[in-house]
Amino acid sequence: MGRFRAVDPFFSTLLKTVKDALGPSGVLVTIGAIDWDVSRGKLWAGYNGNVYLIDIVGTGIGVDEDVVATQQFLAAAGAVPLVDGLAWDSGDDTLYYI
Amino acid sequence: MYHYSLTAGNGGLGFLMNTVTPLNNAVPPVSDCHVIGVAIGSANSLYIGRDWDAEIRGVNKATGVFVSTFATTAGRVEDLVCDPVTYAPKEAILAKDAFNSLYEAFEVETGTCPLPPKIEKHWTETNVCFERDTVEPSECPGGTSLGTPLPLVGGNYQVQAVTKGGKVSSYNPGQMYAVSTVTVAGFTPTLTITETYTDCVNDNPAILALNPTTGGGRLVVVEEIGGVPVQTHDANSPEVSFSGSVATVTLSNVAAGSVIPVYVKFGPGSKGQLMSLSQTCTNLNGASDGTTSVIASANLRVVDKP
Repeated sequence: MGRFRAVDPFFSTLLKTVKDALGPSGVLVTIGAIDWDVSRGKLWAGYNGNVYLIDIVGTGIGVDEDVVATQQFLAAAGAVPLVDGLAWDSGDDTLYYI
Repeated sequence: MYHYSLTAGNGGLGFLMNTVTPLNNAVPPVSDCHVIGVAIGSANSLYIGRDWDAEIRGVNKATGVFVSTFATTAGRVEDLVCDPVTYAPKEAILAKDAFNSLYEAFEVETGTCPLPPKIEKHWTETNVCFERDTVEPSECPGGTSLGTPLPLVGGNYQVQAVTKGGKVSSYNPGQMYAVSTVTVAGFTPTLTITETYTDCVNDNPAILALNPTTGGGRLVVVEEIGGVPVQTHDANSPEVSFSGSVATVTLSNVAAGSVIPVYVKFGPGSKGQLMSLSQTCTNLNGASDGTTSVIASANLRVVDKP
């Protein structure tokens, strides 16, 4: 997958470049869409019906490294390869999935 | 578009709560499946990107019923995100183009993109000087000062104890501030900042005590205005209250980008008592915008004065 970068929203400074998101066995996880969850401090991600939480902090801010993606659930519907959008709703702690 | 629960209260993690089909404004309304990118809107709405139609549409988040043609885009929408920072105090939906680095920003209602406050915590000496207003003459002819941070060693801020016969006679510095600095990205109608000092004043023997115990100087709220620290409130202000070992500051209509340090003053808690040097305590801070709370803490360790 392509790299993605975490930027401090207050100061627009680059915090971290994430190389790859890996599953528990070190398998590369493909990602179609992401959204930030401020309550968990993690990134929701989806692909092919799999919904993951990614710990982008990893071993520390400023460390460019692979990070861990942990599958949370398999979407009961919409299990198509391309996930076209995710939105975490802070109002009721739910997830919209396209 | 599928709506999933993430908590037990909504049916459990991954429970499909609803399937939402975005509709247009035709009579009768029609779905055309051109949906790519979604962001949470205000007033029970979603913003959805429409990949073949260069459009961002507002729909009801429960029914998919058309709310508005929110915006038309130059690029092909691939994803949407809510941004309260880049154009603060305005908030925006950013639409990422599918093929290029282009993104387009569209203003949305204030409060659409919540972002929790940020909080940092440290201890300082009392050599502070804040302006009382932005009008000359200055209260700080020698320049304003946020205070000199206490030495930070091994994750603990240090204060030195002067002892006689193992009993504490004073600290160096004699007083100190616990400082929490809260930053808000977006306009915040109500911001609550707390300083919980239970651990430090109830330790046995107590490491700290409020100093002074009464009066406005116990707590000072500062706002950095144009980069200049200005004292806006003290412990006697109606926005400040003390209950038990918790000080609470409640501020209204806080502007986007505000940086607000809160200083709470302490002195030795156990003069004349035997104290185990290297004793450590923790003050805890919280900040809440009514939706999200964040916390920070900082340890204080008493060490022997060499």
